[in-house]
Amino acid sequence: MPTILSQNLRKVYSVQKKRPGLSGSIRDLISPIHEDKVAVKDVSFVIEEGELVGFIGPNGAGKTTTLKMLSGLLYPTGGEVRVLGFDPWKREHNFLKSISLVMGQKNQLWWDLPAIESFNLAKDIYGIDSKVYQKTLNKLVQMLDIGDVLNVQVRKLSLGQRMKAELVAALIHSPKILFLDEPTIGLDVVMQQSMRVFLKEYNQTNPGSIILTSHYMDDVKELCKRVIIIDQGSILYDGLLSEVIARFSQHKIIEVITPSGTTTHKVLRAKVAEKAADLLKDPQVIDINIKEVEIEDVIRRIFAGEKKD
Amino acid sequence: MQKYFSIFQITLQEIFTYRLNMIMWRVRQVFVFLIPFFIWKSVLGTGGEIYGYSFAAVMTYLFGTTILRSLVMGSRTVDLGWMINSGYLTIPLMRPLNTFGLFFVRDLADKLFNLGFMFLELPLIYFIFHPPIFLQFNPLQLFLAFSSVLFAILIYFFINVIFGSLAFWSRDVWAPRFLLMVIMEFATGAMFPLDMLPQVWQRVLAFTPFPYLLFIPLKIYLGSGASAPLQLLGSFVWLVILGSLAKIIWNKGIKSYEAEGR
Amino acid sequence: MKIQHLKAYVRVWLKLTIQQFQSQVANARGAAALFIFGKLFRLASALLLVYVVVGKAKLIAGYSLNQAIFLLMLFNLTQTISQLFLRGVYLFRQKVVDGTFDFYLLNPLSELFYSLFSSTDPLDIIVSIPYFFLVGWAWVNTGYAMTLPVVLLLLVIIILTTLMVTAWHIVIIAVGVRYLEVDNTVMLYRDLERMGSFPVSIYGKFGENLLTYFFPFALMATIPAQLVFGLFNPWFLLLFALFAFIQLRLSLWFWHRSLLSYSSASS
Repeated sequence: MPTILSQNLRKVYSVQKKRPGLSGSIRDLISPIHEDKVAVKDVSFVIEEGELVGFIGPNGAGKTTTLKMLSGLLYPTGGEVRVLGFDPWKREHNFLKSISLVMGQKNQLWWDLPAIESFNLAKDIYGIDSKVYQKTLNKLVQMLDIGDVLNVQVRKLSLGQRMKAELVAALIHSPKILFLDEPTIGLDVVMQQSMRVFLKEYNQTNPGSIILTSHYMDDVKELCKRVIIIDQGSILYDGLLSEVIARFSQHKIIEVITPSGTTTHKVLRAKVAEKAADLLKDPQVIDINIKEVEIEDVIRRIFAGEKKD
Repeated sequence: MQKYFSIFQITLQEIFTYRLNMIMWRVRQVFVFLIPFFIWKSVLGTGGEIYGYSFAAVMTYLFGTTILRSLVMGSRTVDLGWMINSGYLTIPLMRPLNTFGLFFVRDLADKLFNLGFMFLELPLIYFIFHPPIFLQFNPLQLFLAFSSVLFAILIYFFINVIFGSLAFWSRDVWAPRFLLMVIMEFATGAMFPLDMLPQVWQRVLAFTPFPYLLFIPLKIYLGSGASAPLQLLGSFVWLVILGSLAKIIWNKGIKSYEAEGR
Repeated sequence: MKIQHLKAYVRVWLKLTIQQFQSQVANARGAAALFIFGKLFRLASALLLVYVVVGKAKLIAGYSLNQAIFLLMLFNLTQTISQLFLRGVYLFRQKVVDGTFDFYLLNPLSELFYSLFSSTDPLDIIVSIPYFFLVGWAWVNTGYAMTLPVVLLLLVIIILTTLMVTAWHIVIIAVGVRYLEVDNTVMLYRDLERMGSFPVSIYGKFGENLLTYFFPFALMATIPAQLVFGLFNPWFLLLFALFAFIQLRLSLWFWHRSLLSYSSASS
């Protein structure tokens, strides 16, 4: 049984269209116009146990909406979804005990209490066995290195420490799926990196899947072998990250280094060897690099609607 | 002047945006009238008088305070405390506008909205409850009543500014606000005519600005004759006191404004 | 709901309430005093209204001044107790707007629990103690006997009222989840509720029926007062128990329906 099964998932919102000006708002009062906004058009995929999958897409692509349907927050307008065999919308007790959601910039820890209090409370809420709880807590605290701030009020922690404590709270009940919505947003570069390192390590040492959404390429490059690219509510690509470039970019980059500087050439794959040989004829050439197009560029172009370059 | 008019318009738009909120608010205003109506009906409906008021007289009074409420107590300046604590105040402060003027114009928009709806609800109330309506024709009384309503509007505005300004020094403005609301509910004469109270209480209340918000203006309108100019003077005195207090407190508060949260 | 879930709910509720108390003590001592004073003042001005009106008129809907005062005190007590655990409704809109409600939905414990019960104010518990005494005092003044069976029946009424009030609060937040409009809805509810502080027969047949059979406000004061005065047949309470059950079921259904259109705070 797959961990997550989504078939033709769809979410449509009815949004009121506001007319400008005072007369407009009076007309809105009497006869409002509603518009259908399609946040998720038709999204289908299968995720197996233990995978670390990244949903990437520009803002408004529908990735967060999809995530929220997978976790049971939003009721799908169409299609079917099964997570761990459950219908997430029903939010059954056993389902909720098996998942966790972390949202970037949003806190579920109690502001005025030390983090450890929130963890202890989670023990009660999730019904975690005391021995298991202690073991998991120790492991997570060690991995995230927040042992010395456990007894400090959450409001007094730095953003980085708070995020780490947030992760402990999210993982203390060893969920089978961890959902992360834009987890690195607003964090500084160092914090972003340590979060990625942690998530990778956690995924490797624990059973359970991690699903994350992000619009930062670095998150995806570091963490995900598999990506699902979403734009305007539809999936543009679902597969290995390493193959995105091969699939969407027909070019490679040849970098030529001479004493007077570096020049780059974009060359069709088939013609690379030929062009490289050609460039090497110049006696000024000190070094030559043949690279793939930056994945960011590829993805940016995918979002811009260009299918192949 | 144009910019104030634009603010007036935008405030109205703001109010209209939340339909349900608007409707609920108006329904609540109807309830404000209902409870005292039923109480008085049950007590005086079959005739008789209490403290000189017959059922008809109490109804006229209630009807009057309901209308006056929309005019005097419709206000957005109640948001001031929140605006200060959330740092939102920074936005109007940075505009090339007199901040008091800004708040007052927003209040005017609110009052207009309330009045507008009142005109729809009044006929309904009249047809269901038949309160006797008293129309004042004496031009002097009318003028005095009108002035006292104007003063009442300003007095309430300044009270809101003062209470809102508490936020400059305290995170929690709800507690004093709550207390103010509870006191005003009774002391403005919204629940019953204040001259039903024993003399002693009336004198105590005269030392507060609250009766000048609803009770006094209505009394003047209904024809308090000779005492009207004196009452108007009382209104004016409170206006000056509260206005100065508001200005002082505001200026002090503004200096300690931290603009946190933004 | 298994027994360990129940334990979890109790522990969580205790922690939430203690924390509320701690933060009040730390941040808002003055505010707490003002609040208590405000509530007492409100009661006092309601009492004043009763004295002014009924004192002169001698009777309201057939009840004497002492009976009217007793009714008011009963209302005050029942209203405070029935809402004791439901203060979360005043913070609900904020929780939806800032995304905390999403966490409530995904927490294994019921999101209704968090939405309604999470801001129990220990102050309310403290302030209800004098309210009990006020009811006792007013009861003695009416001259009706204070017997154990009647007191027990009053307790039953308070429980039934609390159940119905809970149902109505669920309806209120269901409206809030759909339209993001909570504050005026709650205040409208409170306005209606206030009608219960006087004998409901003054509101005419329609009003009386509405406040008795549709809303639980007659149950807050008029009915228990009638019970004490020997004007109410306690077997009717079975009917109200049925109402309470139906209202709870309906309100929960409405809540689940409203969640269907929940659109969640944007990311």
